Amino acid sequence: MGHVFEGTGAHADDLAGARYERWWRRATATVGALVVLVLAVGNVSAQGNTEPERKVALTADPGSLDPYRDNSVVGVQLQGHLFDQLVDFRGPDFTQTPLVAERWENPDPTTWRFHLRKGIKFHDGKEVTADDVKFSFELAQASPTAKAKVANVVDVKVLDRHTVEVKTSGPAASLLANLAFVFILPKADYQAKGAEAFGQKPIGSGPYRLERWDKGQRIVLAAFDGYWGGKKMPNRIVIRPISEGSTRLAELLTGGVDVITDLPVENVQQVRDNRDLAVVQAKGIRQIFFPINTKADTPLKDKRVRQAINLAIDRETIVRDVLQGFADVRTGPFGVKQMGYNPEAAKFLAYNPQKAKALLKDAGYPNGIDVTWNLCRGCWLKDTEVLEVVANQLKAVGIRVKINLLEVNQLLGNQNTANFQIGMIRWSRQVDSDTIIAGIQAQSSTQKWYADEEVDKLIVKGRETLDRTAREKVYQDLYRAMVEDPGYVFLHAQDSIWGKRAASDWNFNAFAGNGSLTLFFR
Amino acid sequence: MLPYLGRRLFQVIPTLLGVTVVVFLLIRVSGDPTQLLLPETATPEDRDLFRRQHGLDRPIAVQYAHFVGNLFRGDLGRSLVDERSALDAVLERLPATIELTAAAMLVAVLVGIPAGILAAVRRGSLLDRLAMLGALAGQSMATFWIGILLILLFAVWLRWFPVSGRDGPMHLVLPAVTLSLYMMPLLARMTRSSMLEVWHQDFVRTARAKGLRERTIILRHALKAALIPVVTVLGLQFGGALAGAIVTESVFAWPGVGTFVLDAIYKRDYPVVQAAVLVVATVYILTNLLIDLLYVALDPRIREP
Repeated sequence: MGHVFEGTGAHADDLAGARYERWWRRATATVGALVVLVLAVGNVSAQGNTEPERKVALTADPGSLDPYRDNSVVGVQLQGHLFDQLVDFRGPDFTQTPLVAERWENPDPTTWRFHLRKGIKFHDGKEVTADDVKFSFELAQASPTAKAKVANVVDVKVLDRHTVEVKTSGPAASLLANLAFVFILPKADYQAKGAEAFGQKPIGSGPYRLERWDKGQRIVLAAFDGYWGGKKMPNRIVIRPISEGSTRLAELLTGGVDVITDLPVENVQQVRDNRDLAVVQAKGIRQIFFPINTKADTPLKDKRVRQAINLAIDRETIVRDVLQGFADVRTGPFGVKQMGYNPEAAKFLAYNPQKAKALLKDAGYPNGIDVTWNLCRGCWLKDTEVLEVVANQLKAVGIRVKINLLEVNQLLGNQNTANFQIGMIRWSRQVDSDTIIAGIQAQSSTQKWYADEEVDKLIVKGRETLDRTAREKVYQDLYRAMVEDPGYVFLHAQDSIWGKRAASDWNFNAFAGNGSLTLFFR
Repeated sequence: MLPYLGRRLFQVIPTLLGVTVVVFLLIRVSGDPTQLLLPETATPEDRDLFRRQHGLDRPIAVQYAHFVGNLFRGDLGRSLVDERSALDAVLERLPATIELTAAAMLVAVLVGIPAGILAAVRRGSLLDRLAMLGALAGQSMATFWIGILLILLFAVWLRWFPVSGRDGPMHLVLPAVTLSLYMMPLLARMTRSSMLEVWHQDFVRTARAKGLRERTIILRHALKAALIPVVTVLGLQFGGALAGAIVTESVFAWPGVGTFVLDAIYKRDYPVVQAAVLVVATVYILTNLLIDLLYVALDPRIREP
């Protein structure tokens, strides 16, 4: 279940939100101040880091390492070390990187013939063959969480030991991007162990093998000597699950770990001020969309009202002041670097409170409107703070927001039954514009909160257009359609913020196409 | 003694069944696992299929009957997330929680009871006031906050102890102290008031009249009588400690049941939550049974009906 669907993931923020009551948050703030105090005293020297072994603090322990069972954020981060895909997209620009598949061709628009690298070994020494690839597709198709990634795959044929042919139901422009989520598992070992045991003691053909797993305590990965791409550094990676942000930071300060995930924004400055530490950030990794229920009998039925909401938000101020720059502004479905970004249409919903007021008046609401906005605390970076500012900005044009605090499970449940006014969807940065749209529109169109014929048509067209230039144009049209008749409040895509020991040469170049990251990259 | 034990053990069964009803209903009322376990791209049909596959589409009474039937065979179901045996997954984490809770209770007893005795014996003294002030402060501070504070002071600043994790006795110190601070205040106050109560009773006066040493009077005579309510409180506090362990475990990344079950609740992994609550309830009930037996040892009157 490779893809990092954020709703399923036990993301740190989510857990924190679910776990701690308001007073805890306050306590954390107090503690944050104390951290500053302690640092001011200046007794924070730590030994330099030796890179043969890298210790990393993530937010949780996965339940299983089987990619077709556990698709939590942490699960995928780990799976990326143990397994290979046919192809991945690596680095900040998502460069297409052939892994198990050395090359491929399209004999026709719905056929993909993959030629596997010869001599690739699983950790038990057995060769990776076409049978394993076919088996992995079958696992993905049977997995409730991964099946969406291979939804248009109708047949997988083994042509010979090193050739696999994949048939799709139609031309599938986003197939390769989706295959970044399909990890190749060893058929023989999986079947011999059984699914449950495999998930506890998996082997793959990835650059690291599982050396040890003390539940809740640590996972030790060792560099695989026989890796086809050459042995990776560091030799060992020790991963510790630490759910509490302050504790992760304390471990980083004392040199207990070299790298920590989800550095709290409050602590960024103090990490920057410490010469032993460094902040690492990945721009715009989590896209936050706010779906609007356009079908219920509220003022939100009127597209002018939905435009007005978008127009009344001063996103630059929010990103600068509340998020301290750790986000990219979004005024439409795609970011600047993503396929389909439409610079003209991007201006359409940019901050313009006068226009927002005028549109409300036009729509017949000169005295403003009341809307309910569902929020789950801890679901995204500084969610409560951001939404409070948004509510204030909307108030200025006459839109009175009632923030409805829900637990994440309840929030998503209400969305699935179309019982909401403005909700929330989190979606990891994706390689392909189709996978972005598929993610955010899937719910909307099945639940009919927002169904726009043009949008639906363009989505299918984009998926089926193989020519890159033509495809770019389709997504630009889609962008325009989605801002002119907005079904979402577009706000921002937030960064992923990490902390590390300055001596560690780990960096974020490591992003992979499944929203995972690879801890071994230099 | 034996019939008493047998009777008490028999009473455990209805109590546990009661626990299963409560946890079974509560977790189901609180949300649907398909929201977080399935991706947003899942269609309503996918969600129905998931529910059917895991028997969640059946009437709740049928689900419960099925659950109890399996329970008597020692089968607590499989995790909805990774399909592992829920009981195995919980039992794997249990030793760490027991270790932490037991260590915390030990610290609480070793500090709390002597503090209470001293406060009682020197009632009104500066020591008494300090001890009671400390108890009040300890009771008012949130476990979470204390935990982080201790980490900052003893791990980040002084570097005496490791920050988090479970790698030997040094790792146990900070979490055990944190959790003990949850139990210690009540224990100290209880010991103090209980001691004060017996302090003026006839048997203490008799002991004093016999010319016994003050220490003997306190430890042999007064304390033994005073301990009965304290022991009761200790048993009840153990339940609180298990709850407090959830917070302590997440602050110190302690690999116990607490952090694990929190995650399961969040994902609405019903079988795991059920198994965890049931196991923890069993531990709690057995501990209290043990404490009741201790009670019998302390107070012979209880033995004979």
